[in-house]
Amino acid sequence: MALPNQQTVDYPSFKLVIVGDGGTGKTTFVKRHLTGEFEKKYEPTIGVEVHPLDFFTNCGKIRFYCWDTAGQEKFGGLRDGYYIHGQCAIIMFDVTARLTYKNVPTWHRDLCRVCENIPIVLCGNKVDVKNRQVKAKQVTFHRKKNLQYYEISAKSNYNFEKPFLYLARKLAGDANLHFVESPALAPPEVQIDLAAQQQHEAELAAAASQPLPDDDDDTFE
Amino acid sequence: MRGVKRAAISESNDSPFKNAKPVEGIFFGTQKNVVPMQQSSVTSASLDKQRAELARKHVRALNNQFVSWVQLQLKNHPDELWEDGMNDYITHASNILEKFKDVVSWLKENKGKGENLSPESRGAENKLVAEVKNTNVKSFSNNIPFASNNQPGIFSNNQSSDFSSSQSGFFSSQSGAFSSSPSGLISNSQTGSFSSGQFGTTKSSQPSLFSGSQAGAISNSQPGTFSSSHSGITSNSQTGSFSSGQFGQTKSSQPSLLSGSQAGAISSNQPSFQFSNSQSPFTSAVPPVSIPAKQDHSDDADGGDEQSQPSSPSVKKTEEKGITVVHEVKCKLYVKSSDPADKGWKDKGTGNLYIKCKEGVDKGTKESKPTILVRNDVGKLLLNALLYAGMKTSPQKNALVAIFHSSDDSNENVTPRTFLIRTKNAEARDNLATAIQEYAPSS
Repeated sequence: MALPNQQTVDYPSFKLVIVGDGGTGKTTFVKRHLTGEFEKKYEPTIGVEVHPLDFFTNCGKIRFYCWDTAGQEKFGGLRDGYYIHGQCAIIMFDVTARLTYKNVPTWHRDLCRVCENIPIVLCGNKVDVKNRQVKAKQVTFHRKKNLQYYEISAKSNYNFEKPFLYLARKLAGDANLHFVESPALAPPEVQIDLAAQQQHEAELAAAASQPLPDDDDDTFE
Repeated sequence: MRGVKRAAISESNDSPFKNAKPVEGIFFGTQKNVVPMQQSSVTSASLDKQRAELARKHVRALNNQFVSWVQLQLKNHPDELWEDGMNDYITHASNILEKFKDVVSWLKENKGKGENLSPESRGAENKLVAEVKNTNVKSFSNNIPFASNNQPGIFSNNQSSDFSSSQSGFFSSQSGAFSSSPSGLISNSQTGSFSSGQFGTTKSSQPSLFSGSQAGAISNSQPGTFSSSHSGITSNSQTGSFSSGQFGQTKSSQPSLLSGSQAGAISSNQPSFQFSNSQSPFTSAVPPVSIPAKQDHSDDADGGDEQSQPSSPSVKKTEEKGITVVHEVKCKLYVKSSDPADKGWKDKGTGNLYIKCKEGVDKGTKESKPTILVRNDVGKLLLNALLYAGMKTSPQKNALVAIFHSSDDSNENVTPRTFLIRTKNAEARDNLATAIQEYAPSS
């Protein structure tokens, strides 16, 4: 169901609502899928931001219109307006902040009042952090409410595709649905002349003097 | 009429003093004659009367102020001793005696004559009682000297009469205060006069007998004041005066008394402030959030199974015919920002890097189409480019810097961009660099 101000596509599209306390990593999770970028600086989302995300599955292409909402009360506004016509949802909490998990029932209650019988995924984010407050064993809310639970890390990309795979399977009604690699088009032919080669060498030298990005080696553990 | 008298007093302040002796002689002579002679003596003694009238006004002002103060004390401090007020009264009385020495001397001279005329003094006493009973009738000025003339005799004969007379005087004054009130002008004038006398006169001691006689005289002159009282404004002024006196007495020195007066005046002029301390209680508008969820600490087999299950790959790799993967490594990809102002590497995410070639074609040739691909876990392409002749790389720590020609997702334009490929360790980086150099076209 496409919105009036959004371009319609010839493949299935769904409205995905992402809710949870402020600062749990909802926007970072979406941006990770959009641009691959991990946003370290935290800026509260004001209102809602809608981002289309395309995935390639063995059943064809699928699009999620991700409604990334504001978690803070003061930026929330009329929250029900964001939930209406939601076809699937992700409830995000932060495993390093116990309060964000305690508020999950509230988010779930508000969500179900507007959207009945939609597939919902509970995500515990920031599992890459050493000092976590909510242990995996302590997360039990999803069992009572028939939700799927994934521990993810938007920083290290751990399980970061799992929520979308679960939702895609539920929406398609196919338990065997899986993602496929997006087709790689033939890369463009490149003819390097002597001048371009010298320019490349200069750029490499400049890049060598540039400091490396601040990142630890835990990414590959 | 009173205005005329006041003007006469102010104009001839020294004249009566000069004529005191002749006036006294005339009055004394006429005292022995019959009633008609008394009438003529009144006219000839007008100057002395003026002086006596002024003294009478001072005494009346003092008494009225004292009575007002006593009434205030009865109302506000009935359980306290009023010693300070009494001492203040005696002090002011002494000042009046000193200021009107001429009148006091005259009373002293007439003392002996009074004794000789004992029958007349009794008659005067009866008149005094009559005046007290009739509160609506004001005393006549011509009676004052006569009454004053007879009272000292009584005091010298019997002290008990003295006390009785004093008490009667007090009651008369109070009664007068309740019955009538004069105009504000007169009241203010009297108050002003008394105030100036109070501050201008100094204290002096008198012989005991003389003091007693003077006190008696003053007490007996009270009948003249029973018919008047002061307005509210004047009462306030009197109250302030006595209050300041109280303050002065506590310090027991004359200069302190003056300071006390000033302090009293200042305090009486200050308005009273009332501060309202009522505040509305602060109530939080945020309702408490109740979280009924309970934590389950029991080990659940389901949870255990979830955790122990290996992560199955979500993305199935597609087999391409005729294509061989010659190198594969997990990496994290960065790209140099195209914005000149933004210096630094932009995060593209983690994924798997592949170098693929065509099968059956010699490696290191253009026909083999060596391609470098980076995909994330969802299968999304992060990098898709050809290796080219003359390609160079630059190792940095665990990363490799290289330039590839790639097109953006929604852009057909091909531009060379600088990429940084971070690997797990230096060994993986070196292997990647070797593979790139090995499979890139030689020329």
